[in-house]
Amino acid sequence: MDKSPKKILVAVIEVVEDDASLLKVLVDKLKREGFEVLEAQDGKKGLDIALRERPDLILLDIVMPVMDGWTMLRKLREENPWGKNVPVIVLTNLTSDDDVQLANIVKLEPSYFLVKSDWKIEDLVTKVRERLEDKKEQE
Amino acid sequence: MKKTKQIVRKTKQIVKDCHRYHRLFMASNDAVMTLEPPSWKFSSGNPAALKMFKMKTEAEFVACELWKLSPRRQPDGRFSSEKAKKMIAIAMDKGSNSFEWVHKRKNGDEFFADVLLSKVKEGRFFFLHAIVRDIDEHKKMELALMESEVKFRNIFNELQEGVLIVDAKSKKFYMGNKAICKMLGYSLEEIKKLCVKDIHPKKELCHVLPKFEKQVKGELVVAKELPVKRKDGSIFYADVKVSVIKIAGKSYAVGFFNDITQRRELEKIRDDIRNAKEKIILEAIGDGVVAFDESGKIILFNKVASGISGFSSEEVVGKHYSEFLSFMKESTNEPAQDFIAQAILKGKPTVMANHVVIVRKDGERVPVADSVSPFFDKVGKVFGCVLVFRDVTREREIDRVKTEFVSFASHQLRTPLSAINWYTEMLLSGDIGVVNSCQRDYLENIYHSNRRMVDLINSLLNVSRLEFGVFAIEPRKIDVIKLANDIIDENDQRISDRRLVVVRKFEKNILKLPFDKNLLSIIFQNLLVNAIKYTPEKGIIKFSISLVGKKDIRIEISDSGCGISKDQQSKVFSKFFRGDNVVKKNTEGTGLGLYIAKMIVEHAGGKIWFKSPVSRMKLKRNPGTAFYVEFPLSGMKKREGTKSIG
Repeated sequence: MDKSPKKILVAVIEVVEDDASLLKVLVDKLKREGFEVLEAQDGKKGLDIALRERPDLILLDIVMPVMDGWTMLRKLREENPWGKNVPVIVLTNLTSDDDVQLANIVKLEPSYFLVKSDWKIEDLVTKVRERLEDKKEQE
Repeated sequence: MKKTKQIVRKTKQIVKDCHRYHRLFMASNDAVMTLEPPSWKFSSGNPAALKMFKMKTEAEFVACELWKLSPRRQPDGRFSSEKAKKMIAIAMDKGSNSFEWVHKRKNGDEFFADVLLSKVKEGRFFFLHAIVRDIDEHKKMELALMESEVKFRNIFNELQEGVLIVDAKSKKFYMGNKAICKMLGYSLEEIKKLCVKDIHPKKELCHVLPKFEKQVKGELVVAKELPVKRKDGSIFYADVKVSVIKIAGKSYAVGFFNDITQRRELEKIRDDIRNAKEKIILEAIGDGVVAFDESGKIILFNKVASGISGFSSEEVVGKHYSEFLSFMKESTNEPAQDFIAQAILKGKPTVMANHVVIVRKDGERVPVADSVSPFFDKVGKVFGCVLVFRDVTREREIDRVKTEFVSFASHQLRTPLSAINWYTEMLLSGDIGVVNSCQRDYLENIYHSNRRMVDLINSLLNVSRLEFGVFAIEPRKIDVIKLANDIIDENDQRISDRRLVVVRKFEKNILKLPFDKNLLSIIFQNLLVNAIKYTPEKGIIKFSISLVGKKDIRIEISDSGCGISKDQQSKVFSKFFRGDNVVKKNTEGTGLGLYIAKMIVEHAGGKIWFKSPVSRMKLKRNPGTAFYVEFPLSGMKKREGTKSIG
């Protein structure tokens, strides 16, 4: 039987976060967990990279210079079918429950909206894995 | 011989006449007397005369002159002596004189008399023969009648009301007073020629005449606001009251005309003054005030309302409010609920939801806060409503700035804390290198302190929302017991860390009740965490939910912990308060948990209180504390707001 070697599919996670120190620890942790990681420090770069590289999941901060997270996500969703469906976990320190955030959550459909300071990094990784599992099942 | 017989016959005749005359003289009921010149004293007087003048003898009588038996002056003011001489002179001249006189009796009484003086010839002399008739009673009646007549005539004419007396059958006017002449513009003579038809406008006769008939019959007393036509054709309005009387057997209707034109005008002036006063007050009110009638037409629009809405009072009064007043929801730009119509319909005051804007005439949107109250007539029916609103742009702005600041601050503060959390976590996990137990200990301390900071910021954010009153309460029917179970399970780690036992005592068959799940969770969580924190190892926590009577649901979270000392009990719910007797080693906590819980409970219409020591557990060292939260079975009160608490 001629089987082509099974490619071990490594999930690619894009982390869009403007704070350097948070970005570093997130990237570090994810790499240690075996993911391939793409980085961006503002929404515009994040959008470009996402459209170009098509990661399996995006961790997205909201408050960022140049282009904020919601704008990036909106553009992403509007861009193409891939953009519409790519799983995004919003990772922010804003609280979810004000009208503006809620409206965006409803419209742009991130998979989760997580407040950084309330989540252990370990649990974040769990959430990422969960979401990727879901995605696999859907495909 | 013949001559003697003649003489005898004549003499006999004379004697006969004399006797006859004498008899007449003596017998007459009238007072008869004679007066002789030149003094014109009485020369004789018959018994009737004596009686009249209350004299006893003729001798008394005969001594007096005419004027002696009279008062000094006559009623016309002339001296009796002078007037008497005149009367006598006239009698002597004309042969007789008949006149009225006032005499005076001997006892001083004065009386009216009719006097007839006749000139009588006796030989070459003349004397006056007087017949005096006492007409005193008659005269006095006459005078009284005249006086009475004058009095009534005066009253009749001085009446403010116009009085018209009309023949009930012929409807012709019989009499009228000064006032009615003035009212109608006719003279009395002219009025007497008119009848009822002539004093009302022709087109109103069909209304007026039947009323008159009714009044004559006695079926109607007052005809109100009758149109009355003057001589010059102008019309005024009067209330006419009619009484029916009989004069000499004939029926007359006496109409009292009350010109109400003046009254109407006075009322109008009074109203105008009142309106002016009200207008001034209204204009002075600092809020916009708009009043509507029951159909929604604007009846009042004050200056502030004009200022805020951009419409002038003249533009809007009399028209339906929907043409001008447009209220929108601030966030969605959809029309806000028509609370004006609601208030009129339901008859209940309505407070406008938060975050409503009014659209000005120029299209600009102004945030307003307002309320509508219906008003009721005497029978309780809604006949309009009043809207009071004010421009809250500034307040909204201040609010916005506050909340933005708090959000911004929390966001900024959380970022470095997230970094510390994660880096510490990474170190603790051993991923970055082996960590010895001392290092672990230190790292854990860093981690815990950091967590406290995060909790504090979260709490501060919640508190700011509570204090700004912007948080929403959205009750939905939830299973309260399930929620309690979930919260207890979520705290499992903490509970087992301290080896506590949680006793759940939940009443069966409690149906789903309307509560805001998020807010109720916070309440449960905060009370439970306190119970855990303040109970030493191996203690007991009791979490019970029960119904009280048929009205309320009560949640009790009690512990076997260190309790709250009496001197601290009053401060328990205050911000940042932490009990002195905190269990050692446990420095976590923001001091805001109870403050937040109380704020939520009270805003949502519930009650919260505590007891310490808990009477059942009378352990000296651990008197325990029991916290109670009670809500009516109607659950939490719904509240609109912009933010929720989490």
